Amino acid sequence: MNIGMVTMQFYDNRPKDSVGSSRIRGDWISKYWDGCEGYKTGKKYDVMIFQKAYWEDMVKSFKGIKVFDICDPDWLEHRPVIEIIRNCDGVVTSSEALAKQIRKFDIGEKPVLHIPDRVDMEWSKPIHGEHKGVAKKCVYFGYSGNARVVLDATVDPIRSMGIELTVISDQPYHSADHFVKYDPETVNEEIVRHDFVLLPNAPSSNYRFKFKSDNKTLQAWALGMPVVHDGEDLKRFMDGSEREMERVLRLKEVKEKWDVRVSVKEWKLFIKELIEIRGKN
Amino acid sequence: MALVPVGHQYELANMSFIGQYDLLINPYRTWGTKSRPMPDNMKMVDHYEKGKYDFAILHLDQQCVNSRVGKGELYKQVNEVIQDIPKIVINHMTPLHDSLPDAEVVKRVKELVGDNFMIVNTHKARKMWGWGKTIIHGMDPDDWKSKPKEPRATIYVSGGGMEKAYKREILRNTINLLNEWGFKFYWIGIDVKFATFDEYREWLSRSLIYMNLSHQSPRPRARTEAMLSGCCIITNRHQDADTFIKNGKNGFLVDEDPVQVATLVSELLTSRCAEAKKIGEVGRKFAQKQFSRKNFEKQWLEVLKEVGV
Repeated sequence: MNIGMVTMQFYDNRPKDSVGSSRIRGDWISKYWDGCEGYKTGKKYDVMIFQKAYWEDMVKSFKGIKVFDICDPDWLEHRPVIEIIRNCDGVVTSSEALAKQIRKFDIGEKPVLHIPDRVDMEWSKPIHGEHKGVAKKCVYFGYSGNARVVLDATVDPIRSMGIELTVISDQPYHSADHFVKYDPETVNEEIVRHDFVLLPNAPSSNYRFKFKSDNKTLQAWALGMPVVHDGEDLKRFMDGSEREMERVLRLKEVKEKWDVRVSVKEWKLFIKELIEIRGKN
Repeated sequence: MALVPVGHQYELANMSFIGQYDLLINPYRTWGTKSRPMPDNMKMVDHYEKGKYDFAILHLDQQCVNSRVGKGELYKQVNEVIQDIPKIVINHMTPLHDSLPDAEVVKRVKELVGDNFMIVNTHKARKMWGWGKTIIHGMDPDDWKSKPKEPRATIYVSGGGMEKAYKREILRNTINLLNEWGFKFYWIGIDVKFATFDEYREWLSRSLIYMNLSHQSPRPRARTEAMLSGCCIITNRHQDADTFIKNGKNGFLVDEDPVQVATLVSELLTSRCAEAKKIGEVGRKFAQKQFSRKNFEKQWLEVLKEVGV
């Protein structure tokens, strides 16, 4: 079976490695799925996956199995979410919240499956060595727009503990001690120079944030980095032995549950289901 | 017949010997029905079907050497997918690149083209690339009418990109001068926009002057369309223009000098408008013979024979 993966990065003609979701939900899936590849114009496929790619012409023309993979509430950005889904056989989402919301939309009888973001262990290098001593440096990574929303309320407690904050992002954050321009080639090396990753919980009142997946937490764990979400985590991970326990525990968990190869298995089953539904219809 | 998305499809699909003409759906280029109606023998397809087509047409230009440019990626992908029929590459530009030396661009384009057959659209461009075959485009003369002329000057060139090739500062400086002198100049796509092909043709058919100041865009189709519409052509001498424009007879040849160009335009719009009208008509008759569909088809048939179709 030939499967063509159309990522948003490809469809929107963005630079290589510039779109996280294209890498996590597109490239990594193709990498571990025999028969699946980044879409090539003109090639004949049996199945096409549109990963956040709003390619209406193709979705309407292609006669094979079509799946729309969505990882953000793009209907808030005037994207034709319903039109695309109605022309596909099924939908895959990055979070359960997205799946629940989409099932309520006017999409007909389309199967909607939640396949979480996972990590490519080969990409998750280098891994932090043993954590020791009192934490001194923490790091946040992510889009600058999100940084403003989640970091503003967190900076003061971090400072009061005497911890330096590095922000890895597309644009500087006003209260960071250090700013590192995001570069997919070096981001992991930058992250592991710190004692923990700071990923504060998003405000629960924000509609958009309720659909976010926890891919950054998984990325951090896969690098051997404890993640601080709230004040309790902060207190706990000041201590080196706690961070080391967390590192060992989460690395094990990531390998067992959050390896992207698990997602590939789920994808295969879903495609099989969609083919069966086509057969019945 | 297999065709892969390129510009200038309208005349290609309308050639008398073309049967079915399919375009590959792709993320970067689509058929703009506002610009041209889709010919009856054309349709969009979502994949290339081996054995269904006689030849394929691909498109590239000097920008394709940059891997981040979508059309370059498109070329590479389609070139990889189609392996069983002759591939003809249309390259309607020159090696003049915004950031790379000509020799480097030629080298990289040569690698991209490989064994495919490359078509350019002026003899000068062929010389600059160092290989390829020149096809001078042609259109159906009946598609372009000449009507009583409004005293206006116009141009149709994209608003941005490939600055070295288009050298738009000459155009902008010329327009600024005309504005200073109280004249209005119409840049199609910026000052005037058209909802349909008919509206565009109507505009040209009623425009007295058409100006081409693109530095090294070899053979702008809009200039030919304007010529067929009876506009008085003012063009620079680059890219063989001086081989078909006889200065003061069927158009005007100018240097890259905004003062010279603006002066000429202002005169032709006022004291010399009867002369402009006459020259436009001479140019139209010349273009109907020289840039005809018949000539265009003849050149294409030679190419198809050469690639073994």
